[in-house]
Amino acid sequence: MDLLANLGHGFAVALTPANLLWSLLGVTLGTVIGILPGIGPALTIALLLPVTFKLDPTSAFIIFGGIYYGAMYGSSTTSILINTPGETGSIITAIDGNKMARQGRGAAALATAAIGSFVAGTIGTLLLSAVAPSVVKLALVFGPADYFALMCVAFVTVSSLLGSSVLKGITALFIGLVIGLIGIDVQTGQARYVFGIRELFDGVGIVVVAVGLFAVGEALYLAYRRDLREEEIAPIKGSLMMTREEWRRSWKPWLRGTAIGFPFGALPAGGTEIPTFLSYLVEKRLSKKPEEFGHGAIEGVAGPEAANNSAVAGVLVPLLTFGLPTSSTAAIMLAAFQQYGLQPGPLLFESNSALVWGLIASLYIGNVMLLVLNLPLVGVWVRLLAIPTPWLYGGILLFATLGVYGVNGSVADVIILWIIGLGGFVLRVYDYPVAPVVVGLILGPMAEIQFRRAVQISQGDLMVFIERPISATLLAVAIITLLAPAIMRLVRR
Amino acid sequence: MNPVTARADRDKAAVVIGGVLALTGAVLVWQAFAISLLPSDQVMGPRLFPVVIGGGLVVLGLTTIAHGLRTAARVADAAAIHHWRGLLWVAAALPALMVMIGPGGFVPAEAALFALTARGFGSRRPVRDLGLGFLLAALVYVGFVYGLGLQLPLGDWHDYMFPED
Repeated sequence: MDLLANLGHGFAVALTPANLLWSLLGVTLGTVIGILPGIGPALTIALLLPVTFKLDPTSAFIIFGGIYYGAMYGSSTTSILINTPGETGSIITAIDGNKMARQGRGAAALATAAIGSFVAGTIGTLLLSAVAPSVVKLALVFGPADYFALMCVAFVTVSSLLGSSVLKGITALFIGLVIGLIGIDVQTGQARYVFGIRELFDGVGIVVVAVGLFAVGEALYLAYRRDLREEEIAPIKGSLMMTREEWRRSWKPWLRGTAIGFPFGALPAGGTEIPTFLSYLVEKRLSKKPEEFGHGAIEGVAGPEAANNSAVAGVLVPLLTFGLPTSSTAAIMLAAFQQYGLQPGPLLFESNSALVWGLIASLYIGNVMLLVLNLPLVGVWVRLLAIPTPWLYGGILLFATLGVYGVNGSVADVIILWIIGLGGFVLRVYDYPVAPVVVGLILGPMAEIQFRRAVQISQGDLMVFIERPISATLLAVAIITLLAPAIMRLVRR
Repeated sequence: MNPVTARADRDKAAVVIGGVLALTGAVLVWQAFAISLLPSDQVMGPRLFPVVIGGGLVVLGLTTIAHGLRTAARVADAAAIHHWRGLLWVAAALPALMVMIGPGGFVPAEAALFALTARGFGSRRPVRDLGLGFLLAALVYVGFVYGLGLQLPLGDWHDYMFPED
């Protein structure tokens, strides 16, 4: 079977001692940044780009994949023990997870989160390996018009599903699109919006924007909204070996969470938050004791923790097959591909199959490592939470400026970083989501290229977007998604 | 509710943000016509997307203003904690780095950034923070310059004192 051959090939790549070490490095780093508040996978990968550039792409992506997976494991620990999610995908875990920890059942909560993550991560990766080749076949028939329409779907879903309101999401997306306009137009070589500033000719780099928003903007926001209450770290009580009862209550939520998470990640529906919320609601509805939810129901930890891990596996499907990022982490990974001169998409599976399948195989291995790192060794990582907040953010900004300054050694980049950080602060204060900015920045220029290519092929005829069935369907999906909330409101009246 | 408080309930921030967005969009559209075109470029040249995106931003800005005039500001805002001082300390950290990295070099500049950020997050021991920042930056310097071959500046003073380096 083709799949087995490909996977075998991938494991041959991933099991070399060097790549095993990179994988271990990635998952460890992922666990650490998952546990630490204020630093997430998108920021970490952005900061690593200048360093990993010296590695070969396969090793770099094995590290990145490990970080993305590891962050989802680590963040549940913080949610459960101090009621502060390390990442957005674990917000919902804090509700019942922290209650369990306070009732002295912290160990069981950590165990169901880690094992659930493992089950979901493994099944999700299996689905990724199984689905990706068929999606690649679909991607091969996509023309420029279809790609443009697909990006429109991603624009709409990313901006309307994340954040508090569609208006704010779309505004954030447009801010990203505007930043993406700056620089030399690739097709004609004309300068756009550079205002004679030499540093802007190459455009504003995605690393600077991501670091500006996720590190500087976030640090400014947290200094402004600092909560002076001491965080209380709940001790890990109980046995990490779950009881028979806990297994019985956990395995179905794990599987349901996996089933909910993967399609949400795989469709351009963006991110890990929504599937975790959905999983929580489903578990609450199906539970025989819904009154336990909010007071330490193990299902409320098991389901969402499985959902966020399988969503991460899902996100890799459009990223690898179409080159379409649906989360900010995926957007940075796409930038990493571009840095290596690689374009994710159907051709990547042909030309760089060692990279693609090596990455996928390393995710299976990484999941096993993560289970060990996050169950028996969880106590080691918890000590990270003892780092005082002033030092934590001082360190984050130190590495942020190092990552941005170190690339070109240019103070101009630090100035841009600062401006974007201040802008990011304003966005955070007024409740604008940040992820659409990053996705808009990277997808905007790509969408423009596909659009103009499509119109060039059709010799200026815009009907090409409606005449091609794939493109027409996708554009319809985009419009319906955009208008759905408004229509629902009208219907209810 | 009497009309006076209803007026105060307007979301002023949204109106300001909407205004900035709309203005930026208008400038983008205006400046789009400053992008030079090649004779071969049709309508679909390098001006199209700037005009569409700028126009979109104008629409979004106006919608935000309209929304702000109709809805009340979030109540949570008034109750939330605001640490203006903390914000200013952290906001000063990057400019300090920009100013210092040329003359002072990487390590002192990052130490200053570290200490200012720590101050913004409530630390009251600047000397200890500076020392720790110095140590961390020095470790990073050694690791990146000797381990990874990255170029990081030692500072003008170093070039002055040791011109042969």
